[in-house]
Amino acid sequence: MNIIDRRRLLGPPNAVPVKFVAETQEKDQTTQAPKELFMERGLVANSNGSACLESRGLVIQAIVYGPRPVQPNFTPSATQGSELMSRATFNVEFEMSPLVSGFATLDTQKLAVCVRDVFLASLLLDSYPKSTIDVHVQCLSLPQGVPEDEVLAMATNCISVALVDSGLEMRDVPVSVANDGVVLTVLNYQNDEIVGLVVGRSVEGLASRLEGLKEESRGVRREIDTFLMK
Amino acid sequence: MVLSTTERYYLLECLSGSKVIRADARRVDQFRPVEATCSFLPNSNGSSRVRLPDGSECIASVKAKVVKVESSEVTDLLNVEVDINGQRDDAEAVVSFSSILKESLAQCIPESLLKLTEKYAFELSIDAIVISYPSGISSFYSILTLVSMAVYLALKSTSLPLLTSTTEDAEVEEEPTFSDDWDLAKLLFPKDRLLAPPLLFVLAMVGPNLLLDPSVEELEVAENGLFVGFASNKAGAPIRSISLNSTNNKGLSTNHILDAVSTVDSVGGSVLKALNSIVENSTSEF
Repeated sequence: MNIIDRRRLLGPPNAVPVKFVAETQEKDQTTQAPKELFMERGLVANSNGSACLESRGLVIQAIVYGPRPVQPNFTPSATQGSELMSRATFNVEFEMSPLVSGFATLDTQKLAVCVRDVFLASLLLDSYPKSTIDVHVQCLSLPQGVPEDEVLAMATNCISVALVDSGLEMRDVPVSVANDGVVLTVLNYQNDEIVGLVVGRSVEGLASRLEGLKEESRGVRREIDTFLMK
Repeated sequence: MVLSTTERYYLLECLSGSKVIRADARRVDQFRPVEATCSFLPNSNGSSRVRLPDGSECIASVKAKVVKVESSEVTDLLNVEVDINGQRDDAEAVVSFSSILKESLAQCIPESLLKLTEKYAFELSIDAIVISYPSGISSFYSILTLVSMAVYLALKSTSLPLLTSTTEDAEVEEEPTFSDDWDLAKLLFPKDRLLAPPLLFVLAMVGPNLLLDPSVEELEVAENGLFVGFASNKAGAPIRSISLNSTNNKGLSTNHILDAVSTVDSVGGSVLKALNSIVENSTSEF
């Protein structure tokens, strides 16, 4: 009995399947290659500013709404009332996209608080009295094994780009980097101004680690500056 | 608290100069007097109550429950809940405090401390309630040290019943049994071991200076802040920069961060000693 399938055009018996070189290169990129940032801004039309950052499969989007006028609440204490009148309130909301799975270990509230504290020291909120600035951060893609520190650093950088896109007044552009359990956010290199620090593990050799992170952040800052100057 | 422009300026000048003058005449690395008691809740394995002169008060309780071990993660055996009077359960400070305390406790408590047998372990429920705090407080982070002290004392005073059954139950179906004599109970953190729960110290940055345990007035003029952990007799993780008010925030310098670590390193030991003496002098009434 003839077992050759005559309905299909089969290749010669010594045929070798085609291998695409690009495929292997992509795999290497995710494991060894230096972090490359892909940036885009102004993606959300009905917002005041927006940005989307991608690095090694981690995709984060930040949308800025504001400054929006707020109706002062007359019931709370005089402290809150006076603060509301003299400067803008700044809120950050961090959420994971419903498409992302495996983020049970991520503490989104902690991330939102850390990011908010960074921008409270960077934004000139006094310039926007009786108003509110709201930032919505969404993690659109989270590859397996990406630590919380990297998400925090990336979210900070994403908000920085979104705030520049919105045109809100800032003292400088904060840039964040994460490595070995330390997340460092630098606002100004000349004045040695650090606006965010999270150390999750040992503090052995903290001074040299901070210096190393500062140097690393300069590279990220250069990339962000180049993108913003385009 | 609302400070007038003159008050604010005066305080800022006093705190940011080369010679710091604090309103309550403390040194930069000096705590306010703390009043604390231990083991006062009859239904808890360990409890504490800590009060500060400004009226802040926190009660902490530790309860232990025997559970079947399903994973080797310490975090699964620790339940930390913080409640702040007048704040919602999903308020930022409430959620943050719970997560910070759980994170720092999980780093310092080894799994062996809670493990009873090969199949069973103690699950700790640590509850801290902030009963009162100064009105008009600009940031709840200022009471983080108070909460951490209360949790430290409650854990240090926690005693667990003595296990009378075998610890090797991998092959046999046996539930652990305990001695009903509480005089034989053993402390969760034995006195002879270096192991101790972590403490968290809050420092406020004003100009080039760092102030330990800032008061309500100092929080108003603080330009930034940090909390630093202290465990195994040295300063360490977690360290985090925190915003102590929403008005005059500035960045920290590398020196501020390194100073904060060295300050906590030098002060932590004596604070620990003072807290341990409270535990040693307290007697269980039950």
